[in-house]
Amino acid sequence: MVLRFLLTFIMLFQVPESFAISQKQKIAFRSAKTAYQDDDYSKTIKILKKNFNLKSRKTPIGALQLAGYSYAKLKKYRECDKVFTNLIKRKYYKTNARILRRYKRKGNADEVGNISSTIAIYYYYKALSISKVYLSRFDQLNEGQRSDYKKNILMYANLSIEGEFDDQDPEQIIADIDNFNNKIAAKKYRYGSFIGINYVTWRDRLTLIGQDGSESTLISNSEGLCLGGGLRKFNAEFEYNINGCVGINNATVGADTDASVNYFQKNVPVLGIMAAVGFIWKPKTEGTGLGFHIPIIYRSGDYTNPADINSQFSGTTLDGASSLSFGGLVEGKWFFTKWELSIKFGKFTQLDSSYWSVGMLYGF
Amino acid sequence: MLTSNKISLIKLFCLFMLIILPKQSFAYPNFIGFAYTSCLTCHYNPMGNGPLTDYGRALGAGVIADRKFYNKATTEEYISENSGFFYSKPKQKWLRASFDYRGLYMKQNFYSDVSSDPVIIHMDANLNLIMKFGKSDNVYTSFTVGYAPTPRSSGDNPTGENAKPYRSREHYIAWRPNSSWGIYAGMLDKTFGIRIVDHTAYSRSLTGLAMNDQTHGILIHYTNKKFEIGVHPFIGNLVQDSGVRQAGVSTQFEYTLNQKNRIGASYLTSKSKYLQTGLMAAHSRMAFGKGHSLMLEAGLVSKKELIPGDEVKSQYIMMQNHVRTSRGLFALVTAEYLKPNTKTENKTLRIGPGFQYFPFQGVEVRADIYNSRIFSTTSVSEDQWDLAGQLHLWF
Repeated sequence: MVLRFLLTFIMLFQVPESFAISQKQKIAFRSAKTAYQDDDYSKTIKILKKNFNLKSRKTPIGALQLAGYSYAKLKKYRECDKVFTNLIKRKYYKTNARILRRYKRKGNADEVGNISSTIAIYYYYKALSISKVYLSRFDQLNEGQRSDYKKNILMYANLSIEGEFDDQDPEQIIADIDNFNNKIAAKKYRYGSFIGINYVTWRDRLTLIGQDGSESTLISNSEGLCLGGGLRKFNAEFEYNINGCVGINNATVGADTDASVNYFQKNVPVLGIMAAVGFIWKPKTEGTGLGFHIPIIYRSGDYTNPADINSQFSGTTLDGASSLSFGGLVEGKWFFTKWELSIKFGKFTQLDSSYWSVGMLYGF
Repeated sequence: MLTSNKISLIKLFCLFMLIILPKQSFAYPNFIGFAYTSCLTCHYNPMGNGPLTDYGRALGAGVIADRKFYNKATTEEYISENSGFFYSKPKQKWLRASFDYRGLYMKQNFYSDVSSDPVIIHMDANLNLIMKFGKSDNVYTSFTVGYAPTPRSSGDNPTGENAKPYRSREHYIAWRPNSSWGIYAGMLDKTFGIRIVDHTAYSRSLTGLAMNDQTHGILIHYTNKKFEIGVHPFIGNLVQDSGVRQAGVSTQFEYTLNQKNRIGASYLTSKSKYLQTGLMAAHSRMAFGKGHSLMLEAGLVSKKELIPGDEVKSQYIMMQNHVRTSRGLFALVTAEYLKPNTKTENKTLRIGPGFQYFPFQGVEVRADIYNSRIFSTTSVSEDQWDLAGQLHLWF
């Protein structure tokens, strides 16, 4: 409302300073205002540039303001910034210097002195212009420049808020910059490590090979804890990692349907060593992840020699007690602050049926 | 994009489905992921399940379901407002009708030589009517009747209640004198644990809290910002033979740690002429970001046959977690542990990765793979691999 009122005031009543203005310029200024009211901002700028030197200290305030608003409408923020810088210097040189000095000393906009509604508008347009330039030139700026830009955006936006400028939303400028910076930070890759403990289970097949070459299939169900960790490169959206774990599982082995095979053992220790490369996608970058891993696993079971179990197995050998295989695992992840719940499910070439794990990781 | 013609076609399709397939509606406990901690937000039944409130329907349409099938110009407000019966805007306040259908495609042991033929099961198809009375709609009735397939466990010659293809799964009168208290008298699901939709989950099947296990009783419900409690004394399903009716009491308590985390505990004790049942469970529901969730329930089940006097105690753990990959689309994994008898070391583990998609209000498509592994001290058996596809429609 304030801005609308001021704009109307400027447009309708403000007369360019008579000492610096000719009749031709008066007519041109009126034409520029008409073009602005018709939303033809390019024409406004064209008329003003043709008839006024916008860099000159003698250019009427009204013409400069009209140029500033037009540049903002045209999203020509560099020019907009220059115009409002000029305006502030022209109209509020000492006031502005005092306000900025107090702001820098206090570190915030509280009690920096009286901020009039007009200078609050100028500060708003300064904040807006600088923020847009910052966003568009971000990649070309070095860290020091980025820091300076952020400080200035924050300063002018806060001063505008302190001046109770509420026709536009200076807070939105701060929010936009925060969002942008958060997105940039979220894209930045970092390195980290993690350790974890997983409950794992898999099932594989073993073969009993008789003296006569006959084969009988055994099933081995295995479960246990796997301790490990990994290294990762990650940002808020993606993670690439190498991970691994080692554990001694507990297996039960026997024949499922072949009643003639009297080989059954429980509590067989099985060493499992797994290493993998993994990729995690964190949808919406919010607390969860879906991943895919390409793992390799070595497992070796301390199965009892068949002949030691039953004399019928005399001369029988057990094949497949050790194996090396690779596979694919899909993973679901739920991130707490430092802890992560991980559930993996998949298949290995040499392991029958599925492999899955449920575990907790701790990240560093 | 949905033009008005396409919407009309969808309505016609829905009507057709309604005619050929009888149909209910659900919001799920994992929707805590959207910071909706209480079932009462979306359901007439404060403990969940059953028909959705107008708000629940609007939420499902404007927040949960995808909007890819709508024209970009169609606003969320429009979608939410038109989430009533057959995508209409409710014209009066006192009557709400809804239909719900859930069908299952299932292929058991698909990863095995002994794979069975796939089957399609119409799991339920319900018609519900809600009638609201009073100035603030604080008195209402709910009546649901629907198709109930013969339980597969009943074989070819079902008897008693199992032989009837239609049944009422819910009918009650409710009075909420204020926003905290509610009394519900009639037939409802027993108040216990996390009411996940998977009725084959051990937390529902082992406990006897599946799709046809409702009971007559009185539910007293209380909620405030910090906690929610339901106490449910019941006398059994009066349609059943009196000898098998389980009469007792159940209760569930949930404490709100914060807007996105709840922990809870449940207890149930009941008895019939033949069987005494005792259940205890603890659970938690957690939200991550927007729409992601993690649910965990661990319970103890005691079943004592009163005539021979044998008692079997079981344990279960159920974890069901969702990742919202985009609006309307979820990846989920269900991991379960079952120890059918605590006196033995035998146990079953089951994991079920899957996905769930709500293309728009009223339609849910879901597919899961279930891999079950039995650990026994006396034998070894093959894993079981089941494929389940679900179509869920509600209007």
